[in-house]
Amino acid sequence: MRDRAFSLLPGLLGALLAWQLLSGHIFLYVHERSFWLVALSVPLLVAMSLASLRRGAKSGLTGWLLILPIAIGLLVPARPLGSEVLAGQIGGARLPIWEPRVPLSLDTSSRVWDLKQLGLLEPDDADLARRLEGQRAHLVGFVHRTQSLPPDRFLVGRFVVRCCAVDAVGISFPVRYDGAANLARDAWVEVDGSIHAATPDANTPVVDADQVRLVARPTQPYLTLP
Amino acid sequence: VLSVLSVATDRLATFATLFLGLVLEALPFLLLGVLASALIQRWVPTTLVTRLVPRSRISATALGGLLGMALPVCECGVVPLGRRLLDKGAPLPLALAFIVAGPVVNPVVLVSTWTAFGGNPGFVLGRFGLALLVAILVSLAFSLHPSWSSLLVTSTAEHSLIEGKAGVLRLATREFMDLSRYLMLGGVLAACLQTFVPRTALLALGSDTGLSVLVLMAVAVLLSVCSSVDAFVALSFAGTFNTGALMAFLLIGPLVNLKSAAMYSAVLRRPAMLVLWILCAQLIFLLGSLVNLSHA
Repeated sequence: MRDRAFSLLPGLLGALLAWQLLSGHIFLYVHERSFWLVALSVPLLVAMSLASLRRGAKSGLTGWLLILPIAIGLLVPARPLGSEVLAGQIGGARLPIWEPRVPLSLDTSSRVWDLKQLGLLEPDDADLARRLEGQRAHLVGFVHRTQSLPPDRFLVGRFVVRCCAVDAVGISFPVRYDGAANLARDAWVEVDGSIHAATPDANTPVVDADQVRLVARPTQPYLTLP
Repeated sequence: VLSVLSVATDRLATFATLFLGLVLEALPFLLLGVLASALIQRWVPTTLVTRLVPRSRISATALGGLLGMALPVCECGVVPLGRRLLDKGAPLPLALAFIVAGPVVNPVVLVSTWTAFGGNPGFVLGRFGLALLVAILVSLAFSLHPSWSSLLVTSTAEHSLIEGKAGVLRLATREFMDLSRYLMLGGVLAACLQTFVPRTALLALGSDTGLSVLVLMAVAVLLSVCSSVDAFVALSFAGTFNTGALMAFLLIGPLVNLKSAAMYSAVLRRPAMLVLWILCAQLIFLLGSLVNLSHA
C-alpha cells in the first residue's frame, strides 16, 4: 500500500506542474523560455506514475522528500520575490556573469529609459547623473523603501533572472514623488517622469515622477536576460 | 507580534519561491537524465565500446574520458556502466576516466550548465575541460599501479543496474525516485541559505580565494545533488561565491559525494576509492583556487 502511494508522487508532481503552467504561476519561478521544458515534464511524470503503479515503487524515508514541492506548491500562496529579498541584495556584489554583454548606450537623448536599462547601469559612475539629466523614464516595478530614503522618495524595484528565481538579481531606481509615503510596500506601480540629479547627493540620479499609477502585477514579474 | 508574523510570512513566501524555482527548473533535466540513462542501460551493449579500446594507456584514458560525451548518464548511471566496462575487459584507466569524467562531460549536464549560467560559454567549456583534465590525470596516476586489477572489487551479480525485466520507464522511475531526494535536499539548503543567511556573511565567505573553494566543495559533497541538475544549485551561490568556488562545486559534486560512496565501493576497494577521492579533491581545490587567482 505504502509502495503504491509512493509511486503516485511523480503523477502528483506532474499535476502540480500542470496547475502552475495553466495558472501562469510558473513565471514566478522560472525564466519564460523554460515554459515548454516544464510542460514536457508533465506527461512524463504521469507516465512514470502509471508505469510503476501496479508494482509500486520502493523507497526509504528520504524518498518521501519528493512530497516537498507538492506540499509547498499547494500550501504556500504563490508570490514573486519582492522587497524583502531586494533589501538583502542592495549593496551586494555582482559577479561577472551579471555584466550586460553589450554596454548600454547613453548618447541617445530621445530614448525613454526603462528599469532594466537603468538598473544595469554602473551605480558607481560619478558622471551618471549628468549624462542622464533631463531624459525620460518609464518604470514598472514594485515599491521598495529603505530607511535612508527621504519621505518623498521610494525605489521602484524588480528582479532580473537568467534562469530561475534562485539567480534573481534585484535592480531598483529611486523615484521622487510627493505621495511616496502613501504607497504600500510591494505594490506594483507604473512611473512616468524625467531623470534629474538628486539632492543633496548630486551624483545620484532620481526620476522626478509626473505620474505614478498603481497597476496589477504583470504575468511575468521578472525581467529576463537571454 | 504582527510585524514578526509579517516577516515570517515574507520569509516563508521567499523560501517557497526560491525552492520551487530551483526544483521546477531542474526537474526537466533530471527527467531527461534518468530517461537517457535507462535507455542506455537497457539497449546499448557494452561490447560495442570495448571492441574499440585502444592499447596505449594514454589513448585508453582519453577515450574513457570522452566516452562520457556519448553516454548521457549522471553519476548514478556512470558507476554501474563503468563496472560493466571492466567486466567486459576494458582496462582500468579507461573505465576510471569514464567514471570520473562521465557525470560531467555528458550532453545533458552540459546543456543544463549552459541553461543555468545563461549560455556563458566560458563556464560550460571550463567545466567540461577541467573535468576531463582531472579524469585523465587521476586515471593515468592509477594506471601506474603495478597490479591495478588488485584495486578492483570482485564482480558480483548484484553490481549492475542494467539487468532486469523492468521496462525503460520503470527503470527511469526507479532512478528518478532515488535521485529526486537529493535534488529536494539541495533545493531546501539553497533556498534556506538565500532566505535566512545574511548576504553579507555569505559574501565575506564567498570572496576568499581558497576558503570559498573549500566551503563549496564541502557543500557539494554533503548535498550529493545529481550532476544533471547541480548547475542550478550552483547558480543559487552565484551571487555570493566567486567563480573558482562555483567551478569546484560543479567538478567535485558528481564525483565525491555521500550517495556515490556505496556505488564506488562496488567497483574499487576501499583504500583505492579513498585515494581516488583524495586525488580528485586535491586537484579540484587547486584548479578552483587557480581559477580564482586568474580572476583576481
